[in-house]
Amino acid sequence: MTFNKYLTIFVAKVASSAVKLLSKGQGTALPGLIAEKMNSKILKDYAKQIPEVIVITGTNGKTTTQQVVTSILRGSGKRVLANSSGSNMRRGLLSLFINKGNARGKLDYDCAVFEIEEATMPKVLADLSPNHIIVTNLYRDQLDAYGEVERTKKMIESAILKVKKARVYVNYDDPQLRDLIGSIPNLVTRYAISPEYLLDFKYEGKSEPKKESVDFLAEKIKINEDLGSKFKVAGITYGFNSPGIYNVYNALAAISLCSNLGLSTKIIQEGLLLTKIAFGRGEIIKKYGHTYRLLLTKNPAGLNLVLDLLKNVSNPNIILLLNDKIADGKDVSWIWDAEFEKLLDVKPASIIIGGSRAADLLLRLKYVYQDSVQLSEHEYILGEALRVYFEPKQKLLNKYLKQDDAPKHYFVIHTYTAMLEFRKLILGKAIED
Amino acid sequence: MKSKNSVKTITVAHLYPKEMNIYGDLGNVIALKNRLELRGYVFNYEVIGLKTKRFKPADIYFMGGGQDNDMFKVCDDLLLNKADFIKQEVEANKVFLLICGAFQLFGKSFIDGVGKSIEGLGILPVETRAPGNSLEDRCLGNLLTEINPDIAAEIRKAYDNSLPSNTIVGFENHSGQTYFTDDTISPLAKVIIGKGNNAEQKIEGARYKNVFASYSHGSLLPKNPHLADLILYIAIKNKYGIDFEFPKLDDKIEWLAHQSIRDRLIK
Repeated sequence: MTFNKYLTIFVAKVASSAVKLLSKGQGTALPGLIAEKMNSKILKDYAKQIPEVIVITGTNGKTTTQQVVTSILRGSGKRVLANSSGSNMRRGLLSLFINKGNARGKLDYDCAVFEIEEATMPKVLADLSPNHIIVTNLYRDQLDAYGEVERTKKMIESAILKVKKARVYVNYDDPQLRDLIGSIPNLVTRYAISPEYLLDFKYEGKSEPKKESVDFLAEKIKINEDLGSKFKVAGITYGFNSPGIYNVYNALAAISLCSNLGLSTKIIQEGLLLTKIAFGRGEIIKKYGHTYRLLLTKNPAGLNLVLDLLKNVSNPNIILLLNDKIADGKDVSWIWDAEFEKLLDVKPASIIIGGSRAADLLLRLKYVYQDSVQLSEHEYILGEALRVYFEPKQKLLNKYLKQDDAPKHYFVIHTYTAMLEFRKLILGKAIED
Repeated sequence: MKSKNSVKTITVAHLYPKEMNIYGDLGNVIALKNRLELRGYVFNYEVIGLKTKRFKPADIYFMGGGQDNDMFKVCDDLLLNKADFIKQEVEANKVFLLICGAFQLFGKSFIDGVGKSIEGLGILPVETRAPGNSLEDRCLGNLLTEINPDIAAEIRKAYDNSLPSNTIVGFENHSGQTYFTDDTISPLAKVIIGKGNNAEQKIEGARYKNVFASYSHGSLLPKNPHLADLILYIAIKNKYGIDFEFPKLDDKIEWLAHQSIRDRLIK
């Protein structure tokens, strides 16, 4: 067994180096694939070496929550292993372990913080045997990938039932998660935001009354000029730079977890403030004299929240980018469930539309403004005066961005691969994830 | 200023909007509303839900797709409280647009992926069964179809003699496979890309009297304005006879969206 294990690690490490040498790729899946074929217990062997394993899942907010938890834990002096969203499935995790461990398969970390794709939960959770599991929310998301919300909930539930000792942290405002915790025996920590802010959130399913008390409640939430937030939990004020109330949930999940781990308020506050904003999750980029705030959206709930957030800005300039690759969700019909009509209150100064399904967005907007005049192949006036630039080929977008003299603050609302393309366009390089 | 008498109203009844709305089906209602209002009609929207006991006849009935659990709830309510009314309306040649799960529930029966069987309304001579419960068994992806020539001929009257396209674009996502049980029902279209009603027959959707059924989400009507107008045209003609106006709309952006996905699929 031991020999097999060392051999597996050796071969997988060679594969990992080979991938890195042969291409500039990260080689995230191949070593994992090889290792898994040679030794099916290897994931478990690695995971059990880490004293504290934290798993984060849910449809929205996984990456941001993971970044906050990681930032706080590192700030407390712990050695933290974290995966990236590109390696949130079984083989990616295994590759990460192989790369980070030594030749004898030994890992040297105090804790691990993993974001795990919902559908991957049943495949890895028992092996990871986490001490803590955060479930952020269950929205309709990437339905073409997973089928249905019910199915996703069942996948997460069946996974958690295999790790009954783990403490589960849930967003108690989400009816789907209130339902979920009813069918698991684990210890549960509930977090929520003050009811007056809930109007903006359209959770799936009926909002039956909350039967139990909330352990961590965020109150007195203020959105700053730069869209970051300040809020109070149990009388203590926290600040967070990621935009909007929906990110308060992500911060709150991390605060609940880290408080339970016994970390001091000061360390939590600092870790929260120092959290580097995840790519595309409210990240700010400056180029051509303009400022771009990148706001990832992949479902109606997320888009509605971003549009509500933009009501705080007077006449924002908006860039909408919709792609339909697998990572975006191949089905773009969700744009008809999203309340683009909120744009009538946002009152944007201009909109630039791009991406492989740009024409679908243009049509959706035509229905918002109910009237359209085509000025040229790429320019429309919608409604009475909204100027819309239509450019499906994203790489040609910079002509609109360069031609502006006055510095502008753009709010870029984009799906996942559209964000990768946009970043590359603006920064001239791809993400190093 | 038009006199009050000349204002024409079309009532669209949305069946179970809470339970049966998935993958952007709401876009169909948005399209009907806009296309009516742009032509000067009053759009009257009614909701027929689980608890609705009394309802007035409408001109167009719309019902979308839903998740399996919601479908079972809706089916019980349909059979118990609404079956007679809906049958009457179908017989009276009222216009129905049924997407995905609604298409299945209007048929004779539906057997889901784990073998659970439910009885449908039995209005459409179709049966639906799901081969399994795994994702591989789902019909899932972009859908491109060519409209049934008989229906295309009707569209030419309603929409435009120079029909810009005889295709329908959409996105399908269903586990149930639907088969016709007799020939009183005809397909809405022939499949060019995708699965359609089932994995074998290369046909999509159905037309039975004025019931239009389809597996196209996406939404169906916004990007297929010719079909949207056929539905409106029949409904208005049903209600107002020959005396109505049906001005042409500017559908440039609609066709841009239709053609951009169509061209990509057949490339």
